Amino acid sequence: MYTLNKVGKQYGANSVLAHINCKIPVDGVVVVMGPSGSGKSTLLRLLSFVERPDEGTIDLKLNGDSFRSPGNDRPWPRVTCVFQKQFLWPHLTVLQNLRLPLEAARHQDVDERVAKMIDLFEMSGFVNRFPNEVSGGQAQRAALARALVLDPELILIDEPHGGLDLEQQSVLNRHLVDLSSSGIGLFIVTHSLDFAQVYADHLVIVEDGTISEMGPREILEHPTSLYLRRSMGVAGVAGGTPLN
Amino acid sequence: MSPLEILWEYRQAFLEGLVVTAELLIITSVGGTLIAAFIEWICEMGGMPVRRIVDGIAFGIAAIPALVILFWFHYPAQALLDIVVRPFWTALAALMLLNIFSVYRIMADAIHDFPKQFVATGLVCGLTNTQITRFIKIPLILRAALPRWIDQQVVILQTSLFASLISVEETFRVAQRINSIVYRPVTIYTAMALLFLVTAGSAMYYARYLRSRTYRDFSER
Repeated sequence: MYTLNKVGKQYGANSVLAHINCKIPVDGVVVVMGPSGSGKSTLLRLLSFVERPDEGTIDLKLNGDSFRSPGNDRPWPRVTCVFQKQFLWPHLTVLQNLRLPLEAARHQDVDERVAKMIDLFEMSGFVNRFPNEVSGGQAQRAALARALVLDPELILIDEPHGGLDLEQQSVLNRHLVDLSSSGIGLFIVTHSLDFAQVYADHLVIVEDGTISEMGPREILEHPTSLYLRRSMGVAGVAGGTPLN
Repeated sequence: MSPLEILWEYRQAFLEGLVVTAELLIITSVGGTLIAAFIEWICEMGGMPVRRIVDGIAFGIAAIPALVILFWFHYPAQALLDIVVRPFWTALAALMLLNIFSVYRIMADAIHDFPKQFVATGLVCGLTNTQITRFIKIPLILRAALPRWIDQQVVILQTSLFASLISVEETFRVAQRINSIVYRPVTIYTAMALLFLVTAGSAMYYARYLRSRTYRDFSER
């Protein structure tokens, strides 16, 4: 469970997140949605502990252990993150990108773990290429595989569907569902309402740097936040029309 | 005398000139790079106020032509300090000054432009800060900086020819001296051109190859 206590984040004079107080579960699939520029990716980076809030604290309770930010706690790789642009290390092949975290952690079964990931994400056709030689969908799978090699308990993913065609999105969703079924917590920032409607266990809506609505998937049936109401075309919102 | 006979007859002089050019280049490259790295480290430790001063100096030196710097060291500087310095050391000092701040600029740009997200990715993959520096930061910064560094050393090699104007017996001056004896400018200067085509051209080609390994085409083609 994430507990956010008066969390705020600024970049220069620009306040991106302000006074966020909430508890966000980490089991199942948590989907974070909101308009562009609302602070979703910033929230993700704070929750992944790669950035620290300028105000307030973030506490994470994960399977009996506690982590706090700001502070010196390093929850990685139990908590890991796949960023919007994947950021596969460009000087390493896809295979080397998978191997480096395992070799750095001095695992004995590097070859077995890597082989398992290659099979799981069907990467054998491009695993020896460099990141600038693979497609967006392939890079997304590779980044996800790299995040998984060290058996994380929670994965935060920023806009995994961006730039993917429908078939690639379907393949990715299949992988995400499999991950969730295996007990790994998923925290996904996405613009895909379809994905949220089908797969989300919990929803978090970020608007103008605050959390305007959150709850189980059922909130989609009666949205209260402006973003969800506009996205779902709820009557009564300017410019919105009912879907049925 | 045929071209080959000329080159053979004066091979000793040509070789000595090449040695002087090589000395200028090697000392400038190695020494300049080490000092530039030290200056970059000072800027990292000193923060923005120190970096602004160093950037200002680098900007000023980049604006002044190499020949002006060389002649300033050779004439006014020595007169002001009331010293006499061998032309070789004067040329070396001028080339070092140019190279130090050019290489500093290359290093600073490579470090400043380094995408921080690669570090964040290393952290979430469980790498320690030392491992991130060793396996991610250093290789990527080298990839960004090395082609530019090679191109800069080629510029230093070509700039070293100006040392002939203050009587340093480097390659070009030797070629001029021999030409004044045999008066075979086509042979002499064609040989010079070929020499630089092989040395500088090879280095430039390698830099281009390194750049092609890292370049990513963002065009819509």
